[in-house]
Amino acid sequence: MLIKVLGFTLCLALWPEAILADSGQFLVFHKQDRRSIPKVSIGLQTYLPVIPLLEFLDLPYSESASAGFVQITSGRNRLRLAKDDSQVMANDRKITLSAPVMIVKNQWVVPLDFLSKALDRTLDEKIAIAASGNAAAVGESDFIKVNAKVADKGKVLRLQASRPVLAEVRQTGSRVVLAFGSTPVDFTASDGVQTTEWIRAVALEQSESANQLVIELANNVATAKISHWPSQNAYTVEAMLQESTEAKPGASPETGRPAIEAWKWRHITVDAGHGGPDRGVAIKEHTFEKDIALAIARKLRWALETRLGVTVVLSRAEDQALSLNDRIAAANLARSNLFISIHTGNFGDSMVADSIAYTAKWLGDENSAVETGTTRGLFVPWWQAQRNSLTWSERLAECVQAEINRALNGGQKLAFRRSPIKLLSALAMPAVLVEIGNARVPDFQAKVESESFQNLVAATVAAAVEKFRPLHERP
Amino acid sequence: MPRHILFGLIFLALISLVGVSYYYDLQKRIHELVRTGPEPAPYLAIPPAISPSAPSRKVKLFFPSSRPGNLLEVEERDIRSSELPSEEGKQIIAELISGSRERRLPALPAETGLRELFVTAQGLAVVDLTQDATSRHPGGLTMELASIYSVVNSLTQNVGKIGSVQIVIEGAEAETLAGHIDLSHPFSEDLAMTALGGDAKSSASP
Repeated sequence: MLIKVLGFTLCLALWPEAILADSGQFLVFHKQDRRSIPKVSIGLQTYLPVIPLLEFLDLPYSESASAGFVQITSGRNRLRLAKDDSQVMANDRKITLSAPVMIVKNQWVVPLDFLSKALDRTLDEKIAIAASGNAAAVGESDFIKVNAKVADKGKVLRLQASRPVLAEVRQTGSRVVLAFGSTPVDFTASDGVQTTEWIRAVALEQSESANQLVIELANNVATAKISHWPSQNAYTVEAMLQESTEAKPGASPETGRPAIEAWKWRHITVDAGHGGPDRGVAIKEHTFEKDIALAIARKLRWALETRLGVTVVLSRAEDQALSLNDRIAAANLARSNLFISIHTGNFGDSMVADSIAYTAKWLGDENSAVETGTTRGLFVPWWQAQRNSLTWSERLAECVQAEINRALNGGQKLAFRRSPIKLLSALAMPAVLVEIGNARVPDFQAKVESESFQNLVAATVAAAVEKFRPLHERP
Repeated sequence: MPRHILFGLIFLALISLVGVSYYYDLQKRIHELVRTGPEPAPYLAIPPAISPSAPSRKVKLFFPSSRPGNLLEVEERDIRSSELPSEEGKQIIAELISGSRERRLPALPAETGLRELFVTAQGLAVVDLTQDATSRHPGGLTMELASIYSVVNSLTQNVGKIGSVQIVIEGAEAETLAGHIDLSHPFSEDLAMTALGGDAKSSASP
C-alpha cells in the first residue's frame, strides 16, 4: 500500500500532465467576437491557457518559459506572471490568485479567477464571468441573465431577461431558437419548466459558432407562437396543442403580430481566404490578405447571425494554415446551406479596384455545367459537387454583385464572373467567392484596415444573402 | 551465488543488450531519415532550337490589362517560325515572361523559368514552369486568372496546333498557381475576358 502511495506521489511530482484532464470549453466574448478556449483541470482546480486568451484579446505580451515569466502590457498597465507562483504583479501591486500559474504541456495556464482579479485591471475593462463558470464577457459588467419559467397555468413559457436583449427568433419544426449574436447571455431555468408536458428541453448552446437558446417542443405541439415584449425585456413562447388546433395560427392573440416564419436554413460557412504561411496578397508592409479576410469574415459572421439568426461558422477562426480540401470537407460535412469565401484582390499597379463575386465554372463544358445545375444526378464526382448547386450559386452571385456594385463599386454595373475555382467546385451548396478591391490601389490600402470599411463589406454581403434567402428557400 | 540471483543478472544483462542495440539501431535510422542527398543541380533553361535563318512572324501576346474593363490586352511581337509547335510555344512563353513593352502588367513573375513545353498529338500543350511562377506570384484571384489566360490564350491564338493548355509546376501537377484556380485540368482558350474579342482567330497563324 505504502509503495502504491509513494509511486503515485512520485508520478505526480515528475509528470504533472498525468493528472491533466480536458474539461470542456471556455467561451470568451469580446467586442463582436467570441473564442472558445479549452479548459484544463489539474486535480480539482480548473485552469485556462493564457496565451490563446491574450492573442484573442489582442494584448501584447512577452513570455519566456525558461525564465519562467509572462509579461502582459496594455497601455500603461503591466501584469507579470511568474511560474509556479500564485501571486501576480499588477503595476507593482501583488494580487493573489486561487492557485499558482503553471506551465503544463508547454502552455501557460492560469486559474479562472485570473480574469476577474488581475486581467480586468490590466485591460481597464470589466470582465464578467458566467454563473456556469464556462464563459466570460470582456468589457461587460455582467452577463444578461435569461430565466425561463412557465406562466399562465403552464401554457406559456416566459423567457425573462435581466436587461434589454434582442434575439433573432426562428422556428424549425419542433425547435425554437433564439439567437443572441454576440451578446453574452447566461441562462437559468425555474422549476416547472422541465415538467411541462409540451416542452421537451430548454438549453443554452454556446460555442464559437452558436450563441442561442434552444427550446425543443414536444410532439403534441401543433404550432407555437413566439412574441417579444421589449418593454418587459421578455420573450414568450405559447404553444397550441394538437387538441386545440382550432385556434387560428398566424397571429398572436396578445400582440397581433405574425408568427415567426420557419426558415429552412440552419448553417452558413464563412471562409476567410489563405491563412498561416500562405499570406495571400501583401497589401502593405505587415498587412496581408489572410488577416484582412479573417477580420471581414468575423464581421460577416456577426452580421449574418444578427440579420438571419442562422448558425454561422468560420472555416478558420484564427491565423492557421488550412488546405482547400479541408475547407471543402468541413462545409460539406456540416451540410452548410451557403458558403461565402472572402478574399482581397490584387491587380498590379492598375487603377482597377472593383470588387467582384465569383462562382465556379467547369472547363470546356461550361454550358453543360449550367444545364446540369438543375438536374439531380444520382452520382456526382466529389470534385464537381458544385454542379447541382451552380444555378443557385449564380443567383447568389447576382445578388452579391448587385449589392457590391451599389456599396463598393460606385454604382457601376459589373457582372459577377465564373471561374474554375478549386475551392468552389467541390462544394455541395450555393457558394460564392468575393474578391474585395485591389491591394495596389492607395485608396484601398488606406481604408482596408479600418473597422468602418470592413463593417461596410460585411454588411453589404450580409444584405445580399438576406435578399437571396427568400429566393432560395421558396423558389 | 544463489541460482535466482544468477538468473536475474543474466536477465538484466540481456535486457541491457537489447536496449543498447535498439538505441544504436534507432540512431542509425534517424540518421538515415535526416541524411540529405546531394543538392539538385540548378535548372538551366534550354533555349529553343530555332534556325537563325528561319523567317520571323508576328504573334499576338496577351498581357493583363492595367485599365478597367478588360482582363487581358494584346501586344504584338515577332518570333521565328518553326515546323514544331513546341518551339514556337517556347518563344511565346519566353516573350510573356520578359514582360510587356507597353506598360501592361506582367503575365508571369519575371523570375519564372520555362522548364519544358511539349505538344501532344491531340493538341494539348503542356507548359512546365519553375516554382517561381507560384512562389513569386503576387497573388489575388483576378491576377491569377489573368496569368493563366495570358499563357493559354497566347499559345492557342498563335500556334494553330495547340488547342488546350495544361500548366504544371516543376514537372508535377500543381493544385493552383496562387491559391484559387484549379490547375488539374487543361484550359481552353477564353477570349471573353480580352479586348480582342472574337475576330482575333482569323488573324492567327494556321
